Amino acid sequence: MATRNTPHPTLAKRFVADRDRAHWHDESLWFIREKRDLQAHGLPEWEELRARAAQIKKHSVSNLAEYLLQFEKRATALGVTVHWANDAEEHNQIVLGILRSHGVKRVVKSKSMLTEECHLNPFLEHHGLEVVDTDLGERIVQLRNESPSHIVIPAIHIRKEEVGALFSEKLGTETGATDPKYLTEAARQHLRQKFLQADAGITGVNFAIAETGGIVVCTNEGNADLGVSLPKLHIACMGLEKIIPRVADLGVFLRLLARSATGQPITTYSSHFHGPMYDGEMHVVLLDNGRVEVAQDDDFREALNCIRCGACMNTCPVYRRSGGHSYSATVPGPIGSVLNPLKSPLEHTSLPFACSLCGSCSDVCPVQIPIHHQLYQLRSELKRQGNIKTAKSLQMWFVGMLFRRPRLYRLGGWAARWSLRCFGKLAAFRWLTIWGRQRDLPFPPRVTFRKWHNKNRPTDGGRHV
Amino acid sequence: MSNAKTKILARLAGQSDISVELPKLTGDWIQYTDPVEQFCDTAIEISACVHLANGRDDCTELINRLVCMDTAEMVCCCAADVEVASLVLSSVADPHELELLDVFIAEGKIGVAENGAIWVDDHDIAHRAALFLTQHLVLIIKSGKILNNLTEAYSSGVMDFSRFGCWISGPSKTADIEQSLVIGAHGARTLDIIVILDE
Ligand code: SF4
Repeated sequence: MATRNTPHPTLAKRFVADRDRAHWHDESLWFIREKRDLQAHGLPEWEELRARAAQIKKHSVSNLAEYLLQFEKRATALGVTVHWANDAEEHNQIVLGILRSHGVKRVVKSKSMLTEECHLNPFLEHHGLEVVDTDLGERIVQLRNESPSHIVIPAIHIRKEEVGALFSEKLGTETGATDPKYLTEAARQHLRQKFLQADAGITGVNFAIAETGGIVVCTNEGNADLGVSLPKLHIACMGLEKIIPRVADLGVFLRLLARSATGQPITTYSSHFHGPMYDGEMHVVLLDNGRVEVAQDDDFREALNCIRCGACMNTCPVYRRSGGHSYSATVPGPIGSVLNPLKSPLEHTSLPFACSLCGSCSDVCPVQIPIHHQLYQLRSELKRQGNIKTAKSLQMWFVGMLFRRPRLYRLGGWAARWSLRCFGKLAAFRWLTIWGRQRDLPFPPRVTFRKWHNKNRPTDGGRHV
Repeated sequence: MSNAKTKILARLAGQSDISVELPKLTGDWIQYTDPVEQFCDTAIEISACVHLANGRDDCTELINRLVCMDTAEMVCCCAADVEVASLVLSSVADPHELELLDVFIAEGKIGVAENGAIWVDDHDIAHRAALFLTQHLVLIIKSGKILNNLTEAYSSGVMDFSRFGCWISGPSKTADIEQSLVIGAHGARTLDIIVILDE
């Protein structure tokens, strides 16, 4: 039985309680959004690229079976073993099985939202393996026993003083050191040893190419490459939707991904793995875990276009001000607020409402997912399923009824102006509704718009209201 | 057939056919009046050092004079016709032996002006680990191999999709601590690019 997660507003309230931190978080993300804009505006064909990317994704998501089989065939011919998994449990068992058959004890892992989704780390640790996340941000959150708060920048919520304290405790750096350069160097030394000692490397997958049977992994740090070039065993874990038809499609996606994600023209390393390394072994695990269901949903299919660039998070006024952990989900932010409730509506009821419907996410999304439309639609879906609190439903019903009855609306307007004049701020009903708590009410105008309009309307045909 | 595969394919069989066409990849993609110049500018922007060489001999000389070569003890070169005292990579049995590699030199197949990236594959590189494990990386690219944009690169026919290959743009980097850019995360700390100008 699914239980409701702590709702977004409750967790967000804790986040904003520390004003300075919330403000700093907001600014850091906006800084990345601005870098993204510079890159996007630097390419005259930006909008055309987005349109093509969206179309390629829509095409592949609607022909998944064909492309997955083609991928399997080509990858197998290159010497890769392809596995299929229905859900997280099966996925984890497959990975464990491969590792066990090679007697693996130490695993290095590069960033993969999918393995976070499957909670692979705790599962493997439970079975006695050492799993080290090698992306710097992910290593930081792993050492803090936390989950990433952002899909591209996992430790965006953590300050350098905190990293300094953490590293001094766990890695023996000087106490009080906060210089990012010094701390990064310490992590480099620490993780180099882990790379050299590892028996296997696990990576995520940014793109899987049906035409060639290859996979592409993008990083800036080079951690994925080190992790699968030293040990002989490489396991790549991917969601079914990562498939693209042609290798040349990368000419579209790689131009969009890093520009949208961090405002770089391309990631430092975009590695194309076609088959295992010399003398090595390579496995790809294809995971469904609810994706097929979304692929069949005419209203939400496009959510599978997502290439996990994180741009919708960086731009979202709610995400920036409430932090990734307020979403209680592996993928937070706008796209997370679509994907999570689609999979488990009961757990994530509050997410589609953590949105002002400003539409900024849809504007920046490199694969043109109509995110804010989907969020809006999810709200009505949740209502239909009876998953919405009575207070919210009641308000909506009341406003809906008012808007349908002009006379009542007029009367209501009169009453509202009267009470504003007499009671001022009290009229916001702070003690009754959440809405009123952070808002001030304006002083009512002397002349209503209706009166003004009726007096000033053009004489040739302007309507009396 | 595995059980999960059968189940997933069965579920997908019910997928409604919305048949969106796969778009063509030709288009009005960005062109530069001087792609080589643009390539150099972009590469410098993403923290690489760019050097121009007139021919192979000049290239050898340039490499031997690089700052990273000053104190280098372990150097390995996989580029043809570059005379640098170096370890022979194919004689190394296990990539772990490259732990102390200081400088690695390789030749790229394509350069891309729009993003400063160089395509390197492991055709001539016995251990791909060398590309990432080395402290300093030197990549050689002929100016005639520099194209305008990624789409041109993928349709050039030069890229081999039956082996490992990688776009490398700049030295390794991270901004995971408070968004401060730090060069030298896990991979190379510096990237020197030698552009060999067409004779
Ligand atoms: S929904 Fe779009 S903007 Fe958001 S992470 Fe996915 S691709 Fe990026």
